[in-house]
Amino acid sequence: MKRLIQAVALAGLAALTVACSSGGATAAPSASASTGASASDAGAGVTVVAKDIAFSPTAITLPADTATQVVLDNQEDAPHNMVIKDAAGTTVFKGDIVSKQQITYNVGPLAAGDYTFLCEVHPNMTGTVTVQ
Amino acid sequence: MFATRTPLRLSDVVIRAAIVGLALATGYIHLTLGGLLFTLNAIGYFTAAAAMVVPLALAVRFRWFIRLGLMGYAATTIIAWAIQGPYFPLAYIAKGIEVTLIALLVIDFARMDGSPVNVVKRELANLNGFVAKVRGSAGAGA
Repeated sequence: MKRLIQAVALAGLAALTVACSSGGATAAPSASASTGASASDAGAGVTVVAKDIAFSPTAITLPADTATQVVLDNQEDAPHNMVIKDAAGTTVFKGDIVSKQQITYNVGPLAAGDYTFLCEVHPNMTGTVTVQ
Repeated sequence: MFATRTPLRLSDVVIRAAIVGLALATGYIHLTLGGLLFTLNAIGYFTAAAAMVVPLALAVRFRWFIRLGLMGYAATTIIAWAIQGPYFPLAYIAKGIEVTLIALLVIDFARMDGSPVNVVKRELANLNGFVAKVRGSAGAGA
């Protein structure tokens, strides 16, 4: 019985440690989820649907040097988000991860050029962004 | 084919049930994430959970290996996530489950198998005995 109590105590301690460490880290994605302008001054946006572990459409166009709204319509239980990277692979925008939910991202002004977007959870879900 | 029943203490049953439950829980979380990699990961957890309790003689004989394998599997999953992410609440819950799973597997291993060094020594001795037996029967047949 003593061993059982020790085992349960150890498992509880491990779970508590993880729970405490996760508390501070979960704030990170939301801090970088929306950048740039507020919804009121953002440009007309586009909608990207996430379904069957794929984006549709896989090619979108955004205006250059203008804050824009991008709507991610996740139509399935699997969690998805949108991350936009420039040609060098640097992340220029990272949206919150959502499941079976529609979310509006406020994407800050981007310089003209070609970008890629992908889902952070499923990196094989990709698309292209043309900013012009 | 089936193992003979060995007496288990209540604490053994509780720990084993917790291990199976946690493996199924993290497997289910990975299954809900969709995609090939997560689905394969989930299947791995479900298989390991079944191997932890299946009363087949072979599985019982090598339960120590199943425990080590599941520990390594969970640790690999945690390391892969730490490197690649993504870092969102459900992922932290899954990693919490996996850390607890590893802790319980360590406890179960220590209670059932003792020191890993002794396990390796015992298995090597068994292997040597098996090799000697095979050589002996081959020599007798010549």
